Amino acid sequence: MAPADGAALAPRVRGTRRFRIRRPQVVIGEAIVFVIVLAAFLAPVIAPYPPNTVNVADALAPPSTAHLMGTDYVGRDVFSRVLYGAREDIVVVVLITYIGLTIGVLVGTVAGYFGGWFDAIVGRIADTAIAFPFIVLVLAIIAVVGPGIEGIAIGIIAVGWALYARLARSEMLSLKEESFMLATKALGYTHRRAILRHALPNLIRTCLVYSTVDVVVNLLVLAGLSYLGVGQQQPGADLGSIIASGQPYILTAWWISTMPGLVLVLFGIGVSLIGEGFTESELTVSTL
Amino acid sequence: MLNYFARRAGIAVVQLLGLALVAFALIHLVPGNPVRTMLGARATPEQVAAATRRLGLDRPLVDQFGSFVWGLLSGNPGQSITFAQPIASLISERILPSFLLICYGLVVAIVVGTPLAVFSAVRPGGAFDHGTRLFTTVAFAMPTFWLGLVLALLFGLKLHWLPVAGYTSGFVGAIRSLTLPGVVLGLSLLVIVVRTLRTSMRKVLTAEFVEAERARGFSTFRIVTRHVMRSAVMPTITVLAVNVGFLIGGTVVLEQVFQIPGVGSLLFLAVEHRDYPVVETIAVMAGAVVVVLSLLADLAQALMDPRVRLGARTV
Repeated sequence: MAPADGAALAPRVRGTRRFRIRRPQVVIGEAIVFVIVLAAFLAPVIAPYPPNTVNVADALAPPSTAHLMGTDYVGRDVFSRVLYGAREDIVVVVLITYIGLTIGVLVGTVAGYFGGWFDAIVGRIADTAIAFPFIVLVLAIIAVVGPGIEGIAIGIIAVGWALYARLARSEMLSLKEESFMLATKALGYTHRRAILRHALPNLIRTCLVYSTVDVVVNLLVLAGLSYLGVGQQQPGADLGSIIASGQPYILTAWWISTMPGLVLVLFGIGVSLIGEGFTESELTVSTL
Repeated sequence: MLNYFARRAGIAVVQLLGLALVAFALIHLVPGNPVRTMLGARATPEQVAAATRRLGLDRPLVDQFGSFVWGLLSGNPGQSITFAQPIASLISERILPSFLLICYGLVVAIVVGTPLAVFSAVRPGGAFDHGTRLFTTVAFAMPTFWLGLVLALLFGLKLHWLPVAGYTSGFVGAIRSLTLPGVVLGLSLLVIVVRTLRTSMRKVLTAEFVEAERARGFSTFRIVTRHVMRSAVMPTITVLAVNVGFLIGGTVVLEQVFQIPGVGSLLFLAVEHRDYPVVETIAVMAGAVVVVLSLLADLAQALMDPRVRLGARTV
């Protein structure tokens, strides 16, 4: 390896060392996210009841040992529904966030690397995508493709990529001036090698840090739209639609709407804590 | 200066055209026949043909796009299908509650966020700073619709302090019916206000002129209120202007939760009934608000801070 690669790695090594001193909030965040994700993925194993089995005799039962989060208006076990719902939400959100990230980072990196007309066009498209209020664009797409996860996913990716493209582009612009990137030119590396092997590892980190915020935002959008009835359709369970299904019973059976909401909030807090830990150590590294 | 203004305004115009193009393309270029989807499966071919002609969908695309943009510019974007009413009057009937809700949310975010940011910036790493961070993180992770539901349960159904849903016009009525959604909206924005203001205040607080003032024996209160705030406020305003899209999105959801007859719930109705002309118009309008506000914020910043306009390309 050329010495240039050593220079490229230097900031990352410092970052890694910094990360060994783990901040308690990051550990707490990771613990929360780990428990929720694990529980969600083990839903078929953990869930005491099938999520959609109706048992009217047991309807609207309050939380107890038999039903940890109570039952809903047709006697479905809320805990089981929340587990399955969380699994669905997490899979969808992680998928759409990182599809957007992949597209955005690639487009942004290439735009920043080459500049010129491609950069100009990408920049204007990204500007336009960002200008649409997120939910408004997603709703417009749903108006066309119909209610369901599909429309939400298309909408979120259509806006999401633009943010990463901007981020990756601006990182690329400053990387371009670094001596190791100039060295890739001097050594006659192909553009592909320079971008994928040398630029990308250095700019991906910022994008990953940002993606933690994005996961929370997307989860909230997804749950919000499902709650409003344009996301997951009945009888499928996702957290938003479970909350909506409990709304008419909120006075007599508060648990149906409250419990899935708490899971959403906890997951969001967990991811934000991890993200904050990142940004703080990031800040420390850059000010050193 | 003029150069910067012209360039920045040029970008805004391109963005606006892009918005119109995207909204137009979404609805006109989708596979399948929008008219058929709109009228439902039972519509006869004659009805479909008539509606297609009425909406002008049989004309060339360029023509349609031209009249779409012209309609938006002239303030007459056409007729709603579901409501059998001009879109312009539909929107103007409903714009006030939405506008007030956004203002309410902004006021809550600023009134609650400013002191939180100031006190955490003055003593970074202190107990207050950590508490604020925890509070804003939690507020950020709360789904607005869920928090709205919980607050409605608590203050509306249990304590009977505030109405649970609906909108009453008039000053007192509006304030009462918008308080719960306004607070929820403000809380969701809080994290942005606190973080930006805190970061920019930290930057100013470590500047040399602040040290000089401390050396002269000025109190922290005086330094913060007279000098630091002044330089720290601008970035916050910019960030707020950029995030108005986020606020608009929040309004759409909250209007639905609290059943407020605003533009957000109109958009929702239009989506449900596949009233494409209304969806198009509202989408472009919402985007235009974001574009215009961030343009104004950038221009204001350029006016106040010469580094912006003299510096290299910022956009």
